[in-house]
Amino acid sequence: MERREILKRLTLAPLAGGLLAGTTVESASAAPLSVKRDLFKELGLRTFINAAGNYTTMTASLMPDDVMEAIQSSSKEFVMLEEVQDKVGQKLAEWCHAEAAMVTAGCWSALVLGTAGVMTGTDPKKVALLPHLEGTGMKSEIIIQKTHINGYHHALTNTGATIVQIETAEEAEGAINDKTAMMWFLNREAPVGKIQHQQWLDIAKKHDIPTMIDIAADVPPVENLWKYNIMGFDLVCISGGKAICGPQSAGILMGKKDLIAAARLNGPPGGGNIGRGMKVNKEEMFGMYVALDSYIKRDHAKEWKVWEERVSVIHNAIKNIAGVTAEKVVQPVANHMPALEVSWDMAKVKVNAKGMGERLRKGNPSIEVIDWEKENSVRISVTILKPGQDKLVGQRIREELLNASV
Amino acid sequence: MTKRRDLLKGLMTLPLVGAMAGQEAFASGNSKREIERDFFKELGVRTFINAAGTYTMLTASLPHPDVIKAINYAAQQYVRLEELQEKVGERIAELLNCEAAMVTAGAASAITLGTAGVLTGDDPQKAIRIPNDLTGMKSEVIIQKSHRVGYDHAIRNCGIKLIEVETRKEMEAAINEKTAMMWFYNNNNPVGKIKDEEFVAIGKKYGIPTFNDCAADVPPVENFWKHTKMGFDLVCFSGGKGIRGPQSAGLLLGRKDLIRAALRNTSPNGDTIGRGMKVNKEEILGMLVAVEAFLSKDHQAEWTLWEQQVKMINDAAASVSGVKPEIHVPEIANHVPAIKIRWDAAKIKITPDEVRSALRNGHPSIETMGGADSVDITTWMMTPGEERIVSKRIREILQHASV
Repeated sequence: MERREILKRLTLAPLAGGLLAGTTVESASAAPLSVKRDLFKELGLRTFINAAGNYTTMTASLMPDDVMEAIQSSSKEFVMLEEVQDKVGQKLAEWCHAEAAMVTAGCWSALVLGTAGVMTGTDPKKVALLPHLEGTGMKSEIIIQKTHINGYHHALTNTGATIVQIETAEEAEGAINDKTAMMWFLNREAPVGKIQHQQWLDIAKKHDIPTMIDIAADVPPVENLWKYNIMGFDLVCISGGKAICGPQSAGILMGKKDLIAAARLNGPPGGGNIGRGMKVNKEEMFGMYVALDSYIKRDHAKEWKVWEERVSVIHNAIKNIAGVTAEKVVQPVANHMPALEVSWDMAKVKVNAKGMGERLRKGNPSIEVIDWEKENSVRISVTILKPGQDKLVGQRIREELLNASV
Repeated sequence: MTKRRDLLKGLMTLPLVGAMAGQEAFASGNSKREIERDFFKELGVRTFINAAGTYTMLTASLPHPDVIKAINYAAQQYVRLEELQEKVGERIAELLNCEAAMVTAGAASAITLGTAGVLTGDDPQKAIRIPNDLTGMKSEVIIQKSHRVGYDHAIRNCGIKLIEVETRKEMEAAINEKTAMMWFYNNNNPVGKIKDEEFVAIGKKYGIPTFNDCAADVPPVENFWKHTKMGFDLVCFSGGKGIRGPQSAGLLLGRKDLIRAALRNTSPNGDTIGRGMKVNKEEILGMLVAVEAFLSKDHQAEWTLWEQQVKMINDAAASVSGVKPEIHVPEIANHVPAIKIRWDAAKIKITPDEVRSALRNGHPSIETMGGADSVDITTWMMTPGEERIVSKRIREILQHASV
């Protein structure tokens, strides 16, 4: 293809893109952009007020200024990726009372790499074999409580491991055999499981089986960052881009030194492993470092109060609408933060939850709420609203409830 | 609540630079700080001149300044991740003249997701079962023996079996109802018995999707569309190497139905082989802008610059008696001017390992590549001007070791 054709192709781009491309060609270098581009607009993308929460499909959380500063600043020099992982990992581990830690491409990636590390240890030959375990002699079974099966366990099977489901402590002990690689605990389902944390650990320690706990969305409270390390779980996995406000594509794996070293062998910059496709760049690592530091130092009590005030603001906005009730709710474990559940009598307010979600989505500004849980109610998360957006959200919901009222 | 005193006490454990910046941050709240925090110094991480090239362990490339602008921009608003992938994919496909495209977490991620898409099509029930239970899915991928490299692990992550062949006859004989895909490693085109065009033709003849891994194969810029035009159903590139997008990003290009299927196998969908291969909105927009910047730059001028830089280093090395540097251009991957510096061990008493180490430990620190018999250098990841420092250091070190 000729240069002329490349330029022709670039002018197919929407106006701003075309202009930009032209500018860059003229100067033939990485000159600063003179035109500020609104890339989302250029691509016809809807932006919105996120009153739903830290959902991956909604790009989870926004990174604060100090995290962005770390990303920008660390983009300017070459460093050894492993060295960044070493040094950032040391800090994260220190803050979370773990022996060691690493930044991963999200909590799921932490689950995969941690499991892989348990299976392969630091043997590069084993690393090269995953996920094909047949005939290798590697341990391949992971014990899970039936009530902890909720989709995320699939991460463990990414390594080729198989899941053994049990319900009682007796069954757990009975399931342990020489193929047992690990015992996995999903923190958010702890309340519904028959075996609680300490008992789970006791069984594992008795049989010398490594344990992993998934606490993906389980801060606040901030103490959860170290609680499970101190309790004795060998590996702890958490999402970096939710409440902690690190990069959305980052997470943390922390735990025993030898297991973190083994997990690292199963990911980049090493090639020929199960995790090479789970890349984290240096900018994300530094971003995670700053995000966790800031998160720990935050005034959590004050933040909680701010959230409760926002819940009140929205609650007040919809008071006195016939057939409408609202209640402050706090999820027990995951996303343990105040939210407002707004419910209505569908004889008096003629819209279902999906319809309400759609009206809010299509309004201006567009607002996302949790509209998929119940038929006649929506749940509103306030923790990642920008200041002032609580009023806007309250006003919009009020308008739509009134619009739908008979 | 933590007391301010406790916070300050905590800060005292930080190295000086960090502590200063930190105090500043607390003093001024969220407002702009006067002193920029140096995160590398704060953690004691060595920075260096990259005279080696786009290696992942060396953090590959520095993102283009426009990429950082796009990342900053993207960080300010919420969007739907799938919508962003879709629109950016459309735009990249338009720019690169292919049917469809998506941003992945690097080239290896593109290989896994592309393979998974071929296996599952649009069926989420199949996606859940990868890699342990491929019932109802095809399970073999054909590969030329000479194309077997560490990167093919990314295909095996889907639970499939690799079938190695050498000749066309063997390849045609290996095709059966379990054959999911045929994988080609572009860099090894010259050493394989079946070349790219013939490979595609065999795939078409039997209706088997073909995948070409072109991870490090731009420049030349034409490679961006050469292989999809040739008829490969899927083609992948690393985003954070020559293209200078986010280092943790990559591109999967190809057939619309296969890209849609690949998207099914990754984040934000849970229960997939690719959920751990997260790319965030910042990386997705960053990748788009990187592709635009790459397409619109003056490739000829850049090549000339690299040639001049390489010549300067070459001449500096050659000025030491007994040193025999050689300028060359790798045929496919990392196709840029490069130098191999070798010397007469009788005249210069230092090993290539020791030279690399001396370069690394000098000021500024310089990273190079090479094995037991040479020091290898490229200049395309340098900031222009750094070639002078590299030239000087190489001459110094070799001269110093001369008998």
